Amino acid sequence: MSERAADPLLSVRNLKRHYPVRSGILKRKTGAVRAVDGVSFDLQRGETLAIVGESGCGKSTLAETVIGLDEPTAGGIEFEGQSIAGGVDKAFRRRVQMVFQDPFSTLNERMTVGRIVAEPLVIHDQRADDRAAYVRDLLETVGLDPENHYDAFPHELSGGQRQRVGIARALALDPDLLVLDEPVSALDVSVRAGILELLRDLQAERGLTYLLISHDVSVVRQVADRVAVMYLGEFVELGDLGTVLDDPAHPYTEALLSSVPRVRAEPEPDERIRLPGSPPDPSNPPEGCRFHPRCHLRDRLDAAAAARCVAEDPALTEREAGGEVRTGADDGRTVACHFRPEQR
Amino acid sequence: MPETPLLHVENLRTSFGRENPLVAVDGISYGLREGETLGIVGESGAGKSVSVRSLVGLIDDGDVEGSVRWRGEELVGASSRKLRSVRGSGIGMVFQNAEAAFDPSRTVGAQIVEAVRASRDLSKRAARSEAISLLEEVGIGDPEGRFGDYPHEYSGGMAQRAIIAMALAGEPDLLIADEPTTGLDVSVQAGIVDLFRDLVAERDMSLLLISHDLGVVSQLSERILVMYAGRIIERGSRKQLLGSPRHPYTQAFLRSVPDVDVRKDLEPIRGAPPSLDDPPTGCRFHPRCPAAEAGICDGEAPPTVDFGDGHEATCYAYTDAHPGGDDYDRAAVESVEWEANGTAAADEPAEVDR
Repeated sequence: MSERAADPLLSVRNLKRHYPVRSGILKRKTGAVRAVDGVSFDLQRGETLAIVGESGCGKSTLAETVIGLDEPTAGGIEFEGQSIAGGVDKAFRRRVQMVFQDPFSTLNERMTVGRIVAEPLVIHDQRADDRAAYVRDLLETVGLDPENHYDAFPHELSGGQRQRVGIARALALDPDLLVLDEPVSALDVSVRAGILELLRDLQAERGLTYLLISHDVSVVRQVADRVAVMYLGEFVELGDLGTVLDDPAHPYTEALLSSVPRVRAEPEPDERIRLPGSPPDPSNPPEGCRFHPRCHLRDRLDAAAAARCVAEDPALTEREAGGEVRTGADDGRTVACHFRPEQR
Repeated sequence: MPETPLLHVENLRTSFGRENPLVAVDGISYGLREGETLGIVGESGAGKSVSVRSLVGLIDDGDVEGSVRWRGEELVGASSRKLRSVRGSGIGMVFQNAEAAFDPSRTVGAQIVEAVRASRDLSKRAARSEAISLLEEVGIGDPEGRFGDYPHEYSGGMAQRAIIAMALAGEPDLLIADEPTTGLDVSVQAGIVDLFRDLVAERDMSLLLISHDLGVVSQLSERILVMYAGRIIERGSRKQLLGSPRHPYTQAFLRSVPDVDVRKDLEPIRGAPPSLDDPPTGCRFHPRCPAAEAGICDGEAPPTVDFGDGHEATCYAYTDAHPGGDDYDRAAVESVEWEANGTAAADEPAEVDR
């Protein structure tokens, strides 16, 4: 993975987004929800990095902060080497686009499909001469039929077709980076596959870079090159897709993967890891490793080793930056856990 | 089925509107035995939810026809008093939206006590201790402490457990769960699946599970019905349906499900599920079906073909009317990657009348 060192499209360093918690009649600031709490990653051109985690882990806040819909509390974001932490400009808004989860709520019901897709072109004053023809081409690119769909209204389309409209609109300004926020979660399974296939094809044809936000590891498996697993505002594991999903190193990754219900004709031996409780409150995360109160591996550690999980927050160290290697394996992955698999 | 089923549904049909009615459930039949878990799987518009609401008189603005026999007693056309009493004690219901099941202005405990007393002649004190033991049974830690909490103080997974506790208040013989894990995180969902499995075993209760999620259905159900556009298009054991699916829709549906363990070529089903106000003629899947034959599949409704041991598919591809029948079937079945090597290809399929 050494070629990854060169010129990332997007570089995020120690990003934090905290929301104040106010209470009492004076609405004094009494604490902070640490939605994103020190996240770092590089996104290379043409790759798909998936951020996977359960509700409340901060993955959507991370996406919104990265594209400038939300201001970071601390940390740096660079797009092609230029810092955008102080606010994003028009060029950034053109080159980074978002595809949202719910195509039903993000399309203006009173606009025709043609106008919806053309809207970003109008806002950015692009393609004034051949806008309609260009939009028709885009509709075709995303698998819609310009003849039937250009003048259609969103309510006349199926869920899958609406999501295709959402993707066409995101493509209108010929962006470099698409942030895909749960792009198939609202769709029927038989339709989902078509959207994922479209996203794969678009990436191959246009060299697009994807940041995929998803709670669904099965979807991540189909489209991502690398995956970051997020828990309570932090990455707990980051690495190549196969490395992380086939041989998870962090106990949370392991538990998350084992919880996914498999479609199997014959019942398989139940090897599921049952996590006790629910994720703790991000305004008051546990001391030490944030996962320690639910961790199934701590039982296997001796008392002294287990005490470390309570006392010390394990860092996710970036191997490429010359940091400490914690996984013990030469697979380019980083893991925020004090213990290597063989120590457990 | 030799013994009298707990629930027997025959030709159930639910429609909405008088002129040009929308037929959401179009003549479905099945039986459910005591202690059995039956899964109904399908996508949006398949009619799964309407079909189970129709069983217990929860359709306000539509017409329910056909027959639903609960322990031999007819429920279609029964008085609302009778239906209320069946819902209170014989059949418990768990719906998808946990928030809607509770009144937000009253404590969870008070609402479960009310449900307990509605079906059982217990003193307030006895009902309270019963409610606490129900909360404990569904896995809520510190049930006495949580008894007085309001619904919003429960997390999503806990609220869903509390709904299940309420559904158990009348000591039901059958629990109907409609998308009981949809919208929950996978780790929470897995706990709910465990809970259902334990409840069925410990209470010797039947479970009718409705879900779009084949993973969840296959974890709990020995028998599965597949619904498409208001009809049952295939039925069989989990092993039959997932190992050797017969209906082209079931086959295509299985191939479209992303597998968490392998990256594969994704094969979407072309088009979208049909709109029920203007369903396709003949087989409702024919406009999307790779095996569809013009003049056959778009004509009369297809026959149900029996593959033995309770495995049936409603499809022309297995009849003499269809030119490609058996060849199509083999190829498609083999490309289902998670095929279990169990069920061998059936002998001569026999047409059955239904």
